[in-house]
Amino acid sequence: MVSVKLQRGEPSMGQFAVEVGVSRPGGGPVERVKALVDTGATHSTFPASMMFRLNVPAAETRRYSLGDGREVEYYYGIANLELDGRAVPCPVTFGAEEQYLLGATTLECFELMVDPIGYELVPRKLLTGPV
Amino acid sequence: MVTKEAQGSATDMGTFSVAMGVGNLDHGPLTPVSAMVDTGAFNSMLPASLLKELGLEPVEREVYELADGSEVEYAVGMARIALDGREWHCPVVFGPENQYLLGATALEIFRLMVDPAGQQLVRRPMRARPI
Repeated sequence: MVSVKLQRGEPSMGQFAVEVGVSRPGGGPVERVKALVDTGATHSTFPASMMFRLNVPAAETRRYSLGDGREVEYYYGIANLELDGRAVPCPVTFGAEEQYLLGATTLECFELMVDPIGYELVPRKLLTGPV
Repeated sequence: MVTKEAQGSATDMGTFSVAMGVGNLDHGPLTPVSAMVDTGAFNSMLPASLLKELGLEPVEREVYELADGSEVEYAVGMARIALDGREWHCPVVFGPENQYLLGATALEIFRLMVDPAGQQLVRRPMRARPI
């Protein structure tokens, strides 16, 4: 079974991070970072400064809800993400500094499930069969 | 294996919620709620007003970091959560109104994996090999 193993430090209960490659769609330098696996985040999120450095085009701004109910506005675009030995264009949010999240739509694009006990991402089809 | 209770409903692209029950540590009635599955949240979070109504007592206060990097302090206690046809005691954060999150520690306690593409929780197969 192919899985994406924990890459960053020691996991705390249930939470873990994986290494993901980020580049602009159509080719460009790839930056590899550790991102917290976060099914509560709609899209994967990386610092806006990193997105601009990689020349990932910002398509528009969108409003996002924070944990305390406040709303913030961030740029949104499409980046090429590399995970599990595959590269797929995915929606990304241009977030705050030090914000590295692997969000729900990316997990959907890669057809991966989150295993909070084994601290790994697991291909969904191998375990669940056709849905 | 997916139970009917663990079958979620979409809340937004990729993210989804599941129905669960929450109550105090005595064997009293459970209050049904719908909580978003959020592996980026360490502990589950429910409105403080609901938890106090259920008779839950805060155990301690903890500082949590929000998505924009700001920090906020919340009380934490233990609740009885019913999910997937089972009941366990799980840590819960006394959060703001309208915050219903099923976090990483509860997923670990219930041994559930998250399948964002299938919008469901999946029981983690018991493996013979060590993690």
